Amino acid sequence: MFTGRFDKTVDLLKRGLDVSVLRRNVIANNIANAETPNFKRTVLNFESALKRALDSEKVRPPRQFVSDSRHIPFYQPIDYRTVRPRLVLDYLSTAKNNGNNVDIEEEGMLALENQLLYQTMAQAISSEFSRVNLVLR
Amino acid sequence: MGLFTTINTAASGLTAQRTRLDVIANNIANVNTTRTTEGGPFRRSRVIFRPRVSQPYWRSPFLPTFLKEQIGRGVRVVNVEKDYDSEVRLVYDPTHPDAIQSGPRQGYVEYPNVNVVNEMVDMISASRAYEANVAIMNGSKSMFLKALEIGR
Amino acid sequence: MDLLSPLSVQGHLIELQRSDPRHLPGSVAAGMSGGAAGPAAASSPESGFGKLFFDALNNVNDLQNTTMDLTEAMLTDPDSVDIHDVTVAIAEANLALSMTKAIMDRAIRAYQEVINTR
Repeated sequence: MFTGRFDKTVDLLKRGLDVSVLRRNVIANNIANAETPNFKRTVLNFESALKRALDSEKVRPPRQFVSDSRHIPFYQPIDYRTVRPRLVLDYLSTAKNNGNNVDIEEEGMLALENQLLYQTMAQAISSEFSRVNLVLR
Repeated sequence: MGLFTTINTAASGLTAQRTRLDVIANNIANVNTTRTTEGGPFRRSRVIFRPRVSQPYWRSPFLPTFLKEQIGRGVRVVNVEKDYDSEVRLVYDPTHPDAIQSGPRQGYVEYPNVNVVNEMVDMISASRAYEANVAIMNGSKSMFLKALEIGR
Repeated sequence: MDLLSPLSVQGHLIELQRSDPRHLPGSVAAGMSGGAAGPAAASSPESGFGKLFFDALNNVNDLQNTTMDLTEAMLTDPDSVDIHDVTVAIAEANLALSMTKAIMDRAIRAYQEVINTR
């Protein structure tokens, strides 16, 4: 809709907010099951895949020459819109006596980090909109 | 999904830890109960936790399951059962009215299999988990309020 | 006839060719220039201010519809929609509306100045 980077920034922030809420659900589930025997914590991975997709758009290899139009070019930029969050079961951490590997302090720290990140992203979106509104007044 | 699901999950954790705390309090209160209505000394109780999974409605096995269904929904208390695995404590006291009258353990009194130190440790970890769940709910509330300010 | 010859590929856009004029066209503009009056072809102006206004108003309308849908979903099933989706959609709709209004005001004023030049 708007040309330039406004669209992409708002879209990235929206996806970040969605993933943040998903991650908070995962952390809440981990904390609620902190005493359940044989429960293994789960983690949500998104940021590293997104970084890889965004970096692939920046790299521009020298001009490639394909001899036939049906050849697939080897430089394929990954569209960041196709990146999806992934739920991973963490069964490698050391477990307590009852088979449970949830560390409450670490989950609490992750929850705090998640909350601050969400609030920052909400603030960023807010200022994006108010910046454009400022110009329109 | 949304933040309401987070609050539900945290609330399930709160309920579970409260139940556990009640059971621990009951155990500690009955640490010296040598006779119960069923006969025999008081047996300590323990809670059985299980993770609560979201109800998967029927879908074809060839369609990919959505991520939101795979995230758990917290914990639930399946059962509060009596612990018959640990041994009762035996104290020699022939003058006690509940002393065993005959047999190889004559004169011994059976005391409950409650170890107060273990119960205290359990109580501390239960209250710690309770506080962590409360912190999740508070954080979710702050996030919600911050998101409301976006359009302002 | 081959519908998809390699010569008709332009970058990522492929113009759909129809074997029968009664087939629905791939895009509205293609339908107009094809001449066949497909039932889905809306009467959109081809260029100029008309197209600008039409696109902008369509966009604003879409954003308002999205906002209405999200608000309705929030009322009927609070668990299904995230709060930031709702507020971001509301903010976007407001922004699109005020931006369209500002642009259209300027455009109309410029048009009037040009018309009133004596």
